[in-house]
Amino acid sequence: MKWPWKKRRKKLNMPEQKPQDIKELFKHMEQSDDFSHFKHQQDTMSCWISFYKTICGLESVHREILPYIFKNNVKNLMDIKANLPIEDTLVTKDLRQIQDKMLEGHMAVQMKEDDSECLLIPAPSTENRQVTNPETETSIVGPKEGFVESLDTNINLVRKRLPLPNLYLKETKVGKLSKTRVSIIYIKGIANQENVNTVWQRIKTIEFDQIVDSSTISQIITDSHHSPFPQFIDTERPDRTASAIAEGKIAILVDGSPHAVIVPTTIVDFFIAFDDYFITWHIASFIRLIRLAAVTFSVFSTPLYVAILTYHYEVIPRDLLATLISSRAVIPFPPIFEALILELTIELLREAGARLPTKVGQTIGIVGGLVIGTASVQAGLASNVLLIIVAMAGLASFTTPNYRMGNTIRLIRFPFLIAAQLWGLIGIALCFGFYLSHLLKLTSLGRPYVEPFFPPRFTDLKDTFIRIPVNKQITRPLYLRPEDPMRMNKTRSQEKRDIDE
Amino acid sequence: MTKNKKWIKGLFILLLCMNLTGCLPTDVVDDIFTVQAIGFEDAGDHKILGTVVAPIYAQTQSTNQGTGAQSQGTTDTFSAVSHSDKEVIEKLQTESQQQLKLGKLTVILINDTLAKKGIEKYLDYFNRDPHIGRNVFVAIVDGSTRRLLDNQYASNPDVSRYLFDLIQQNIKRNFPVTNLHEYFYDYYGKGINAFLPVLKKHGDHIEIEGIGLIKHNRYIGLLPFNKYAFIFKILNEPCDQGTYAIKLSRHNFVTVKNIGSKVKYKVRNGKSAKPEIFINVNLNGIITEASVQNNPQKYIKAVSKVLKKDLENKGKNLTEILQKRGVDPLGLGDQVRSYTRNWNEHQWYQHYPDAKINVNVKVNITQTGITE
Repeated sequence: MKWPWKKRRKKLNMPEQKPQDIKELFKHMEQSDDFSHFKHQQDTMSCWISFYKTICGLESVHREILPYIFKNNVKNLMDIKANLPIEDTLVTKDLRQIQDKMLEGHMAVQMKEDDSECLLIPAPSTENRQVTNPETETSIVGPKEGFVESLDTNINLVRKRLPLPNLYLKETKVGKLSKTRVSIIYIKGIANQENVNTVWQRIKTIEFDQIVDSSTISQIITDSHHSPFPQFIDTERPDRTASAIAEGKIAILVDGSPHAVIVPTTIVDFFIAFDDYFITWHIASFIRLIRLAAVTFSVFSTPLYVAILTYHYEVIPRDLLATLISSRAVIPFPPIFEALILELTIELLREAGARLPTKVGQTIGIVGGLVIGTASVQAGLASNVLLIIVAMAGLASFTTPNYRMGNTIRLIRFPFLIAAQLWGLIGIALCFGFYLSHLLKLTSLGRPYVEPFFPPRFTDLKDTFIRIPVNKQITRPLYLRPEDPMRMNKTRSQEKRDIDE
Repeated sequence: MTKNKKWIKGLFILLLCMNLTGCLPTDVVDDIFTVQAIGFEDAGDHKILGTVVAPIYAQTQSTNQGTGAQSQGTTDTFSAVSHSDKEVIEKLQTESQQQLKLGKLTVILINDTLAKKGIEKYLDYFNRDPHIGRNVFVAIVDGSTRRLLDNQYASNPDVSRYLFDLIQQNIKRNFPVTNLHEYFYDYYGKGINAFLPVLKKHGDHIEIEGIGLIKHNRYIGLLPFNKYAFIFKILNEPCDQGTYAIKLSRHNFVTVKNIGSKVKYKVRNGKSAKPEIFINVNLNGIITEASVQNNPQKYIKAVSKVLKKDLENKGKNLTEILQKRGVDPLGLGDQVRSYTRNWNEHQWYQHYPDAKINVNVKVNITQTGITE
């Protein structure tokens, strides 16, 4: 069968331009107006300098490079190289290398204009955002640093938390056009080598033109492309990244993205806020259980309302029957439409709030929540019981600490709603079974996604919905198959030494 | 290609499911009348008069002033005469604005003249219907069920609610546990007979008259509530509430509150013509109302003694009545069965009137309230 929209596309390759020599290369580059190519002369000495004004730091060119070029008498490029107070300079004839380096912010120096030999001096401009608070994963206690768009700064933030020679970093360039620097970070001897190889291979084989963000990478290397569930967690907290690496996970950092992708991940990770580790275990466990209850409530409350009011009036308690019936008596719609209208309203409000600037966004919440809600109830378009349920479900879904998982939860409510209308409670059970079987099949980097629950790994339950005390967490997660499973010495970690004699 | 086909197949099945179930009949909660109480009475000529009560929750624009619509609705009562219970309900549908649905049924009432002719016939339908719960109360009404149901009571305009709460709160106290499930357990069980509460309209109230004894599917007699309910309950099941008043002397009454009683049965010579059954009740109580006394310890002893004697007499009295009537709502036969090999129901009922039943109550009064 041939699909009409699958017609062969015309092959649109970039015009192949391979400059034959350096003159041609510079000529090609000069077509862009931000390219500087000029003769630098002092006394009898002269040389040709070329660079992109926009990606080289002009200040460092003027202050740290140009004054030093002719400091002593120079005869060739090696003399200039010796003069410069800059490391990582390079003399080369390789056209490919010259082109790549110059596009990264290097400056090329030639003795004569048609010399094929170039001295490449790094002078990239470092336009950077300052390290600031994390935006989406805010914490009340704990570190307030967040990743920024520069890869080197991000690696610095991680490495200073794990000052180890074993902290390995592998870097590659991904993207035909964007040539984005992508690096994976892990601890040799803790991270499972198989995981490292898998993720490295998946990144190396990415075939894509432009990598804008780490989420592009995580979408491409994900195990199942059809799943609504995110399989890799991304975080903008260096502390979370470092602690994941210390557990034996692997972090993927992408230049230009303030998010690190952590692989492999289980579903539990998406319901853990890193804040949980900064408070005592009772409170952390309590909050996690509340979060679990909130997610369950958020997914099931509206479908249950629809199912029960449409099919199963028997299960409504007697005292609630009066409230439900009298609140629904004037509503002209069946429960499903009523629920869909309100759910969509909430989704609209969310989307509008997310797209608008912060200050306007707050007003949208008030306008939407109060005005539309009460107005629709007063107009008799929605029952006030459902309004409470939907609003609470919306509120509950915000407790999900991870934005991506929050979006997934937003989405999966609608199949439940439709199933509830079609088959009642059985429909909800069916739909749940469908999602459950999907989750059971799902993997993250080949590791089971719902791991501590299935396959059951009791040792990994220590950091799920009940978080046991930190000094009792002596092993690294089993599903990562870490090469060194022990975090610390068991007996020594349990001791309390008050006075050493 | 195969992958594509799999998708299409999946989509097709999903579409089919939606088509097949899209027209499922729905019971949207505000488009039905939920029948909450139903009553049957004898209409003569082998016909029955059925009455159902469905609360009508306020259909008014109750949404305007925020606070919600908890307005106490009125009830609507429908009656019709027909041959069978199912037919009655079908007949009533023809008068009802919305569909009458039995899923929230809480009380089934049967008129005493009808109950004397046989009960099972009228309960069978409710036993079969999966929509109907098992904690439905069944009661016998002394008088017309229609008059009882078609009335506005001061305590609650919803009569079904009144009936349900009435039986419920009495079960928590002095009345033995009863509902549809218990009834059928007793009815079908071997060596055990069913019992039902008997209600009566008493002016502006409904009153529990007592425990109705059922023998072979028929209502045969009444144990008055005041006299026998408490002793019946403590002999029948463990309980932790209920009060009992005893007479110490001519003008001296005392009320004892049960805070936990347990009953144990022992059987000797189960197969013989004269089986011996020991009912041992262990009762913990507190004195809630008493006249002034000087020595509490002595007083407690005296009260315990009187209470023990009184309860044992009542128990003896009760079992004698039951034996005379040949009914066994306490399930003594069931107890004998558990002690006796090759127990035979037919034989048991022959021996039952001659059985020697000993009621032994151990009273333990723990306190006399917060004042000395």
